[in-house]
Amino acid sequence: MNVLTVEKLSKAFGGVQAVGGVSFAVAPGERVALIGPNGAGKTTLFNCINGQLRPDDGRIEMSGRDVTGQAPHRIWRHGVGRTFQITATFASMTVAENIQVALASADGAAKGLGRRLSARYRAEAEVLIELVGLAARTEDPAAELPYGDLKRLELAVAMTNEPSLLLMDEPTAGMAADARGGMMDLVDVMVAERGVAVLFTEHDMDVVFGHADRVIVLDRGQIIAEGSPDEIRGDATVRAVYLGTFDEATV
Amino acid sequence: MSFIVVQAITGLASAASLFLIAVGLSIVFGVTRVVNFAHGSLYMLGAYLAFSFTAAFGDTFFGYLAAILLAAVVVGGLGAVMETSLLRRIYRAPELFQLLATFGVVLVVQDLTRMIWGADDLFAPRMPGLDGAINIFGHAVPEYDLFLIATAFVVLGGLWLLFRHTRFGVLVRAATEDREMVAALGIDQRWLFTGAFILGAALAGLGGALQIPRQAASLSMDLNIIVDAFVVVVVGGMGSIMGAFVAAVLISELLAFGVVIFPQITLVLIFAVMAVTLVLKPSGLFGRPEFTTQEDRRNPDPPLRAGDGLSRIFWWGLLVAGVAAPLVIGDFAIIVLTEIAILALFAASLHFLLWGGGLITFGHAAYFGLGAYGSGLAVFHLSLGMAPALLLAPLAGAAGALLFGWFCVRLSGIYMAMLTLAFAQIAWSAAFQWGGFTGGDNGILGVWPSDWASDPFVFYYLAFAVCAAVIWGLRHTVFSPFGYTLRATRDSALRSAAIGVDVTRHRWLAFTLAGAAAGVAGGFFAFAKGSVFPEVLFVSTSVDGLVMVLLGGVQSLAGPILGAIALTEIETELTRLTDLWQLCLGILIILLVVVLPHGLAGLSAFMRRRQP
Amino acid sequence: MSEPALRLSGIEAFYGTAQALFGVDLEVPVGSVTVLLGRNGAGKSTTLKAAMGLVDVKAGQVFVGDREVTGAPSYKIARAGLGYVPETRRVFAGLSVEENLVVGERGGERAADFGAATWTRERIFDLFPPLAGMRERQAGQLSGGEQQMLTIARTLMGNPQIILLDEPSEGLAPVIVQQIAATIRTLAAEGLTVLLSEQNVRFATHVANRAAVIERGRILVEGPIEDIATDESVREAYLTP
Repeated sequence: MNVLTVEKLSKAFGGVQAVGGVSFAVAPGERVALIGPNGAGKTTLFNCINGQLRPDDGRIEMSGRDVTGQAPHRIWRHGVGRTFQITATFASMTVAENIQVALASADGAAKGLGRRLSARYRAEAEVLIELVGLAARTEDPAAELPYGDLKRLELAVAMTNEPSLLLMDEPTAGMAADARGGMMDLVDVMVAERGVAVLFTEHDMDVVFGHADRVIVLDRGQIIAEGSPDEIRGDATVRAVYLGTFDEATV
Repeated sequence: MSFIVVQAITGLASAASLFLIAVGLSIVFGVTRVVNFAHGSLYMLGAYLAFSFTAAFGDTFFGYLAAILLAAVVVGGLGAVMETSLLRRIYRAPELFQLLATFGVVLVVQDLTRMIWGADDLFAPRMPGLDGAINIFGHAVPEYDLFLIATAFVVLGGLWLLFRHTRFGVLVRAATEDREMVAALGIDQRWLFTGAFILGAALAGLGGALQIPRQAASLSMDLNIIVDAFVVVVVGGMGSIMGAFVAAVLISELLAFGVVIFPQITLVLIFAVMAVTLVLKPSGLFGRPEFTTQEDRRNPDPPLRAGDGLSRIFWWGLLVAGVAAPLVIGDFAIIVLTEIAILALFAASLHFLLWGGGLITFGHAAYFGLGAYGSGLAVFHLSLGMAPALLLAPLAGAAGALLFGWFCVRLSGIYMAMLTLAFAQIAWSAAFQWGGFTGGDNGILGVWPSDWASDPFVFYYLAFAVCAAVIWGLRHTVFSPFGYTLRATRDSALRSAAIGVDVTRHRWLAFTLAGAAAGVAGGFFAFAKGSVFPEVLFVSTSVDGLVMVLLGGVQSLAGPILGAIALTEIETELTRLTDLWQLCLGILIILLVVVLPHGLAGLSAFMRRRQP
Repeated sequence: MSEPALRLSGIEAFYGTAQALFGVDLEVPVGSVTVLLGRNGAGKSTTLKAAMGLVDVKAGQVFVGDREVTGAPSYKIARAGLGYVPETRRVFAGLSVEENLVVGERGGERAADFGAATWTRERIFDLFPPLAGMRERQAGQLSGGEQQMLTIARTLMGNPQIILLDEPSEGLAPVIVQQIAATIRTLAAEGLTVLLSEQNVRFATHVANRAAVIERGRILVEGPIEDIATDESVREAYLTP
């Protein structure tokens, strides 16, 4: 069964059709990149899937369950981890506490008034911290981490509910060029070791072609191409969209 | 039919002044993003100045008119002084600090007004030429009411002309939409801010000046009108002139007819209008959603450090001091000490929301007061003893927080602050108006401790033990998964939702918990004083709580306790030394916000920074 | 050789803690039309915002002519002669077309200092005839193309020496894109220096005479547009997916 199935999804803003009838699926353990020029509808589509926006029409299923229009905190319950274009972490907490809070939520204990959080879920947190390579920074406040480490922390937080799908909005945005490969290698580790599928948007084409199994190209709210990285690289329509459609004859 | 017309005219006359003050507040907010609490003070100053000017040269129609206009101009000038000397320093501060600093101005203006004009209400003569009534369908309608309505329409028209046909007006509208773009087009915003503030202040002054033939100039005008104005801008939408107009008319008419049809529940009507508007359109009837303010997390708090050596010493030291103090102090001091213990709990419950959850509440007095009234009413109506009455206090506080909180936690930033304040003031008015049940202005007397606790020392130990236990409980909650999750919603609501936290619900629970804790403090407060008056619900009680938290330092769990001790001591000493207690407190608040935003606990860090 | 109209050196810019520019060096010669090419997210818009003082610049310098404006508030940078046309247009939606122009207006005294054309509302309406017929209309009701004209017009009212255009062709119909291209050439002919950001290489070759390619927050190549836009290796590496 697919971890994510999107059927004929549509969303308009004040008469402008941002996403117009998009359908695709993500299989377990698959890495799918969503690309397209600015204004193509990537963000809108992404936000419909993660629950930030309610689609006007269409259907979203996660592992066979209809989740269309559910709020973000409910989407998480269906085994979805998220990372954001600009990282969202808890700045006033240490690296370990960031993960412990998420583990408490995954455990259904977010409303617990009992034992101190700092003494709970410690071992599980350390496993994840080790996995993303932040062991040396376990007790550092998130506010003091360099941006690349924040991205890693976010990935670890997204993994706390043992998701079957990771939604990553521009996983390497804001990182220096040489750090991007390392970040995506880490994502690949999650895919290989934990069997998670990944749907990500990305602007860096090295990242897209190096780390996606399949690429979906969006333009003006429609899927205009879908295929392996090699197929997309050679696709004439895709090149036209990226290079623009300025008609020389009429100038 | 005739009755309806006459009642509608009465409503419109009240709407006129409400519109003048609300529109000024709204214009200032639209451009500067500051909610000016002292806007009501400018209104009050307008009234007092007009009183003096009319006394000097108001014996003809035009003399009177000139007096009113001059008052507005002078208030506009005072606005310029306030903007350039204070507001410019706090434009980048968090909303809570802006509200508090401008509330400091409220206190300063109160005492200065009292110094200049005295504490008694001042009655101005009616306006010459408009002191009669005209007959409409057999009802006498004051001519001045019609003049007021006409004035409101003239001002509305004048504002329309200003905003449509002058460069200044166009720039103000542009800045209300997109300040950054206005700057990128080469416009220096400082004079724009000052100009908008002068305009807003002059409108407030005009609103106040126009009131003097209808009502006496009094020292309570400022806070009464500002709360109504908050309700109007919350309903109409911040930054919208039309919104201020429509909401002012809507609310005034509701009150005008409500008083006739359901005289007992006019407050409920306002409550209902506000609630329905905010549920359907959280940014108000004419407001834009982008006005919801963003979280300011540029200087995040450091992580919590539980129980390191120093903090252990502090907490144990505090406990020992609390237990030992009665052995060495006298009878008066024990009463002060009891009050400190109670207020420390009140401040700690507020701190729990502010710091623990980033929830800006400006109306925490509601839950403190509901606790006090819960206990007081239980004694008065049900003849319950002290212990069961005290048990009712947290329930009353929690019930109020459950109801009000449902609405409040749906908003953020300045909207939340204003809504919490509005709810608290509604609770205050209810206590005030519902005389048959609450004793109204006369309060509830005879709320004395049971015989076994009637000795001040025994009562102190009881209050101390319970308050310390609840403070400990709040402190423990901060470290529990619930508390961490609450802090998570403050640090990043986006991330919290992405890890499965129902942010609104979690905040609501926290709000209720804090309400219950404040209720406990309120219950003890009632028995400590032996009485309950509407003042426990008043905005000044909320502000006292905020000052304690700020004084002690927001970023520290010990802050509210240090703050309660410091403020109570300062207050006790100052009231003994001077009548100008409010003036001193106001200046203290302004200094705290401008100079020492991290409070006493942050003082050492501040001193270190200052050293070369 | 005189000073460039605009010079950025070593600019590092951040959104919060996320770094967007990693040491951008860029010169825009007087009278040139320079295009900043690059893919989505490469740092084009941020470069223009950094010049305008609209993002957090933590390192580097910005010069307008020989005057350093690093860290100045954006109204001062605008007064130094920089005009900014944002990517999402950001017209004042509740204001009429004419009122949008009023906001941009700053009298003609400055323009005289630089010898550039002095823009008046009349000249603006000559340049953008469609706007003349809708002076009273609310800007929020204009089409995308009309809004793009308005935001350029609004900026021109301040008589800038240099105009920064952030992706002026984005999201517009081809026929409108051609009008915008014509407008940019007219502005250049009037003596304005232009710096625009673009993804659309064909559009760029029709309006610009110089180009710089940005990728991952750094400028990679810079030179005459003919060399860059026709260089297959550059196109292949940085401008296509």
